[in-house]
This record gives sequence, structure tokens and C-alpha cells, in this order.
Amino acid sequence: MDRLLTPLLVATLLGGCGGLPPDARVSSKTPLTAYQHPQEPADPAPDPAPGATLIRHATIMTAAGALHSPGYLLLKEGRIADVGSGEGPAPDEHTAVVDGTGMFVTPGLIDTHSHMGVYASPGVRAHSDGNEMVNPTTPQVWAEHSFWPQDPNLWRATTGGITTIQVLPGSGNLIGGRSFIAKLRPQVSARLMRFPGAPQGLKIACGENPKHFYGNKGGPKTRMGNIAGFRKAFQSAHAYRRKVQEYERDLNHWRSAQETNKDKAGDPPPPVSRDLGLETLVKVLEGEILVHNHCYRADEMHIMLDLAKEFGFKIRSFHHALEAYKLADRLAQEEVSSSTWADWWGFKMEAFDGIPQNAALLTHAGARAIIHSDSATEIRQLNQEAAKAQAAGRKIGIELDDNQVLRWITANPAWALGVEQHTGTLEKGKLADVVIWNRHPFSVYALANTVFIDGHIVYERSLPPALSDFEIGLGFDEVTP
Amino acid sequence: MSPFLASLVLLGSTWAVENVQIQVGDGSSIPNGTVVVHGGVITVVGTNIKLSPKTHRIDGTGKILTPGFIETQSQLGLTEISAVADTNDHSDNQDSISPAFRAGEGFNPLSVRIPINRLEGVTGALITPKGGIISGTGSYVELSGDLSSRPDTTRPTAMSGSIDARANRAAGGSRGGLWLKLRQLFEDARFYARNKSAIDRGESRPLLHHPTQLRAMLPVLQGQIPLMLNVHRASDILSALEFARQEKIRLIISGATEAWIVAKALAASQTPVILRPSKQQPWGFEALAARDDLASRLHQAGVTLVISAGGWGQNARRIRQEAGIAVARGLPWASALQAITHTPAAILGLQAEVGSIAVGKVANLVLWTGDPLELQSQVSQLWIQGQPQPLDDRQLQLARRYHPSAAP
Repeated sequence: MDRLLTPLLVATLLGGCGGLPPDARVSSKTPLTAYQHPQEPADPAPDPAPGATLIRHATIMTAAGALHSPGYLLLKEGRIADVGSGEGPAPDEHTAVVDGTGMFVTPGLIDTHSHMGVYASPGVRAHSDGNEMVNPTTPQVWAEHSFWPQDPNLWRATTGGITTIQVLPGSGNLIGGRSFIAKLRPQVSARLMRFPGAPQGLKIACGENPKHFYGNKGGPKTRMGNIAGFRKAFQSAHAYRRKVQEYERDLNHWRSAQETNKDKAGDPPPPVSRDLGLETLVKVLEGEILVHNHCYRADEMHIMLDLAKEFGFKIRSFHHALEAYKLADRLAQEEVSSSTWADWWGFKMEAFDGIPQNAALLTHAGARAIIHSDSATEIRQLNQEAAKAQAAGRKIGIELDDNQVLRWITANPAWALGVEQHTGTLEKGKLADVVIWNRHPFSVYALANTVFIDGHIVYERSLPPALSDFEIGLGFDEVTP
Repeated sequence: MSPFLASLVLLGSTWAVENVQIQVGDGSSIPNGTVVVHGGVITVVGTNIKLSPKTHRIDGTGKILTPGFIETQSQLGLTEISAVADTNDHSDNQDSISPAFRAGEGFNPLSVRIPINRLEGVTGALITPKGGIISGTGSYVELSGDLSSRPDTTRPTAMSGSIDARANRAAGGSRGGLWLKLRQLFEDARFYARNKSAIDRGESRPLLHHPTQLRAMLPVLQGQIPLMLNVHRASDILSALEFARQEKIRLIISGATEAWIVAKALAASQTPVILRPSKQQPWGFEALAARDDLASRLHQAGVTLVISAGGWGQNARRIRQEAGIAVARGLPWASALQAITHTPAAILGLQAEVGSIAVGKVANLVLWTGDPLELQSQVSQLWIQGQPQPLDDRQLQLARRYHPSAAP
């Protein structure tokens, strides 16, 4: 209020004393109040589906160890109210009942690595919003601000049972920007799709991509240039945090002084000049933003783990991580997850040692493995990719049960995104993010029949899909082949 | 050297797989049968076969025998690491119209990618160039990993080209510009065919293309080899069909995202279609009408269908997953298997030698632990030209290095 008055007051003083009562004319040395940063908009309000749905006589794969066959799953007000073996509770007349005979039920699938919306279809230059490649270090940008909710690939992902995605900036930059955790219910804005309560992530990238793009543009040009870039950025974050701490100390002094003698306290200390990028990195240091590190080679993963230790933060998940099997023990010990593929390899030097046994070897060593897609087509068959990785492990004698494998695409990615207390398993109290499959989800022939998000049906195979605005009226339904 | 001659060199080796479910590849199957191979060639296929005591017998109880898969859009052996330009030999890189470019000349049978893909049942591939309007010729090769599998590039299998968005850009940015260039090429090629001696004497009108290039077009003009065009948009597919009819050439369409719209025309002209079932999404303006059920719609309309894993060929091994996805989206199982075995051989004119389990054909066979399209099934044994292939590759060796207690 005082800040608004000040220019008005100056104008009044300059323009003559008209309009203001005498006691409103305060000294031109009116002390300011403490500075507050503008606050970002809030998370969307939770919007659970009203009512109840009982799925029964199905095989319930909880991804939390328990398998109920036959079993039941009760959804109520957008959450899992009950789950177990046998017939289940008798439904009341308000409960929708799904006869799941022959069907399989899993938690909604979660993809930690998507560029849907930021590299939307159709893939034209106007939609190329995933890499702010004007500088190798851009922690200030947010993938959420590039996200186009009308990307026709979004609803297609739900046909594969996907309920939550992490949308990442690309890997062109060393530090690409904040990631966006979204639930795949169609909305008009990105913010409305945001997963309520989810922390944001930060995308960083090692290896060939940054040095390839910036080699002739001032660097980094080498892997050592990459690492120097990271260290410089995080050192700046430390310095910024220190400045903020000094400011907060000074602010507290000023507040105590205010309580003692308001008139003598004077102005609060000037705020630190706000740096949106360093602010993001400080949140990483504080553990509020989770780090997702595109990194292929084992030696580089070691360097990044050491670097994280040096600067006092943790890497939540390596991405692609094709050589993670080479340091599985350290990843297990330091609780760093690996988001990888079943069988992509060989497209770059750093991808040459990719093997289909990666996820199995990680799991065998006690590390958290995740199957991700990094593809708008492959996201629709994440269940199949997990199945392939399971079969690959079997080839070298690593037998993993279905529960462990299902966790690669449910509970483990939920943990990597910091939402494991909300979703990722079929347990009482968690969100009703659920998929009903027409057969075992690890079969190449499996199709999702029904997909729930917060208890809402977002995909029902027997019905026409909810097209994005872009696809409305294109006229192909009326084309007579 | 013909890819099939090597098998005839083997002497005296006769072996058989018995008590096995034989999936012939042409849509038919034998629930419990025997296949006998001699000298690398299939000599017997049937039931209740009495085998000579000298025949080496392999028990296929509980297993399934299929022909080896054939990938028709492959750069296996043409690229080692796609991001490393020096290892890429799939394109002229100089000229978007280069019919005389022979992908086979860059083919490396010792590529590390070959065992990796062979391990999942791929025994043959059409090695094609890519990236141009007319990219050049490709050759069918067997994936034995042997230097003898280098193709005879003077007898190519198919000519590759594209009239998709990328080709449009290469032609200056418009479809009209693209067709103009193609008409010029064909006119020049026909002119060359009629006036070869005059041209050699220097007594002809100027040509837009070098005689070497025009000479390479003759097998296409004469209908000896098909022209494989990568194209997606429905109207562009119709343009291609009209062009093929006017020029009287054999046409194969690859990509074909919007082909369901013009399925009748494709069936009526008997133009085969090569597609990748998992990639049917509106990724560009030429693919807006993408449909998941493309394969089954084309099949229902009577279109000759081939399924491909597409891409750079480092993952031709995904071809069986692609076939499985087509089945999930409505294509009959037997048709899906046919689309990765018999039909690819047939559209390339190779059906007499490969693509199905039939007497007289080369023994490119795969013995599976279960349904070959299912993700849990594994290759139990694999033969190319009757020779058993090692079931090991670099990736398994790396896996074992980091998992010492793994089974060998």
C-alpha cells in the first residue's frame, strides 16, 4: 500500500496539496515494507471424480507386491478406497460396476521422459519449443510455458495406459530448464494439467548434445567444457544462495528493530536482485526441484554423481542412461534411479554400449530402473517395452517377477517425479489413476480398455476418442476410402 | 554372386526339425510336422515323415518354426552409428536424384549390427539408400555376417525414392517442382534408351542427367525392378499411382500413412504397401489422416501388405513387435506373419528362393520357444542357408561382462 502511495504522494507534493487530508501527508522518507517476490499461480484445485466405481473379478496387479487374482478395486471420490482378493464388497446402487473377468488392472503408467506438447505434432518449426538453445545454461525457462495442450499425441498416450508424464526441455542445453509434471486429462491450459502437489524437475544434459550444438558458438565444445559449465552454474547458485541468506539475516534484524522502534527502523534491506535461473538452481540445492540428467556413458554418470556431491544436491534420475548397468551398485547405493529404454542403442557413440539387459541388471543390483519413452509413439507401448526388458533379463538368467517389472513403469517413475505418495501403485488412499487391460499388460496384443485419472475415465476403447482441437473438423471421418 | 548360391556349396549335410508347429509364411500352417534340409535347401515339408538314420534331428516339440523375417527398409550394414557421418553409406549426399547410386556398394557384412538383429529372427534384408528424390538402388542380402553375403550390385533388387515432405524440400519446396524433376528424369532416361549410340557419339540434344545415371533407370523403365517410393499423403499416393501407370513401371509404396483413404486404388493397381504399424500418428501435414488400424484396413481392402520396422535399421529386430502391434490393432495373425516373411520376398521377386517354408526354398529358418510375435518368445535356433547361426552378439557379451554369474 505504501508503495502505491509513494508515486501518488510525489505527484501530490509536486502538484500542490489537493485532495489528501493532512494526516495522509507523510514524510517523503516513509519507510518501505519488506519486499515480496511476485508469487507464481497456484496449482490447479484437485478435481476428483465424484461417485464410486467397483472393478471386480479381474487380476489386480498393484505394483506394491500384492497380486489379487481374482480381485477387486474400489474407486471413490477420485481415490482408491479399497483393493483386495476375492469378490470384494457388495456395491450399492450408486456404484458403477465393471466386470473385469479376464481383464488385468494396473496403476496408471507414468513416463518420466516426454517432449509431447513442447515438440508437438505436427512437427513444424512453429512447434519447436523444447530447446531454448540461445545459451547453454537456461535454468530460468519452464517446459510448462512451452507446452501446447492440443498436441494430438497427448490423448494417444492415454490409449497406452499413460496417466502422468514429465515433460522435459530437450537435451541441447547443459541446463535446459524446469520440467512439467502433467496428468493427461484434456485441459485448455498447461497449468490446469499440472499434477497438484508435484515438485518441478530440472533437466540437465551431459555428453554429445550440448558440446555438439555449442561447439562453434562459444562453447561448451568438449566434455570438459560441459562439466566446467555445470560447475560454474552451481557455484553461481551457491553465491546467490549466500546473498539471499545474508539478505534474510539482514531482514530479520530489520524486523526485530521494527518491533522495538518502528520509526527508527528505517527501510528494510534492499532485496537481492532476482535471478530466475539461479533461483531455480538454489531450489535444486534445497531439494525442492528434482534433477533429471540426460546422460549415457558410465564414466560421465560417475562424474555427475561426484559433481552433485561437490555442490550438495542429488540426481533423482539419469535419463537414457544406456550404460547404467556398468555402475549399478553405485546407483543402488546412492539411490539414483535410471530412466532408460528396452532396446534403443547405437545412434550416437555414447549409445554404442546400450544393451537390452540394462533395466534387468539395475534391478538385480537393487537400483531403481525405469522404462521411459522419449517418443510420442513409444509412449503408447511402454508396457511392451517393459516386457521386452524383462525377457532380455531372462536371457542372461535374471528372472524378474511381473511386480518388479510393472514398477519400472509405475511406482519407480512416480518416485523419480516425487509423487510416489500420491500415485504409482494400487494402494488404499492413493489417487485413482488406473488402467483396465483386455489381457496381461506384458503381451504385445494387450490393449487398454479403460483408463482413469483421479477416477475420471479419460479413455474408453469402445468409444470414439476425445480428439484434440487440432484434429476437429479435418474431415477424415467423412472420407470414403 | 547370388545371395543363394552359397548354400549350394554345402555338401552332404542333412538335418531336420520334427514335431514342430510349422508356420509356413504364406498364411498356412502345419500343427505338427517335419522340415528336412539338405545342402542348405528345404527338401521336405510335411507330416509323418520318415527320416533317414543319418539325418541330424532337432526336436521341435512345443516350439514354432517360421521362415526368417525379411526387413524391406533397412540400412543394416550401411550405417554403424547414425550420428557419425563417416559410418553412414546410405546416401549419395551430393544429388537428390542419383539412380546410379548403389547402396550395396557400401554394405558391410561384418557390421556389428547384423548379429544383433539376426538374433531376433531377421535373416534377410533389402538394403536401401535413403534421403533423396531418387536415392538409388538397393539389394537384398542375407544376414549371415559373411563376406560372401556382399550383393552383386549390377543386379539390384529395387530402386528407392521418395515424394514425401523431405523430398519436396530437396526439390525446392513444392510438389509441382518434385514431379517436374521426376518427369525430366524419366524423359531423359527414355530418350537415352532410344538414342544411346547418338548420345555416345555426342550427337544429341543436351541431357539433364549423366548417361551413367540414365542407364541405371532402364531396369525400372523396363519393369525389371520395382520403384519403391516413400510417400504418405493420400493425394500424393494417387499421383504416384497415376505416374506409375503412365510410365508403365512397377511401383511399391512405403510409409503410406494415409493409404487407407486410397486403399481401393492401391488394391486395384496391385500396388504393394510397406508400413510401420506403430508409427501411425499425425507427425506432419502429410500424415494428418493417420489411423492406428492402417494395416488391417489395407488388408481388408485386399492391398498387398508388408510390415517393416522402419528407421535406421539398427533395430530391424523390432519387426516382430511391429507385426504384433498390427495384430493388436486388427490384422489377422497369419497375415501379420506373412507380411514379414512371404510377402516381402514376393514384392521383391524373390519368392522362389525365400520367404516361406516350402520345398526348394533356401533354409532360412527360425525355431521359436513360443509365438514369434510375442515379446516373451525367444529364438531357440536359427539357420541361414541351412547353416546354424551363433546366438550371441556384442550386447549379450557386454551383459555377461557386467553380470559374471550369468548363464553362458
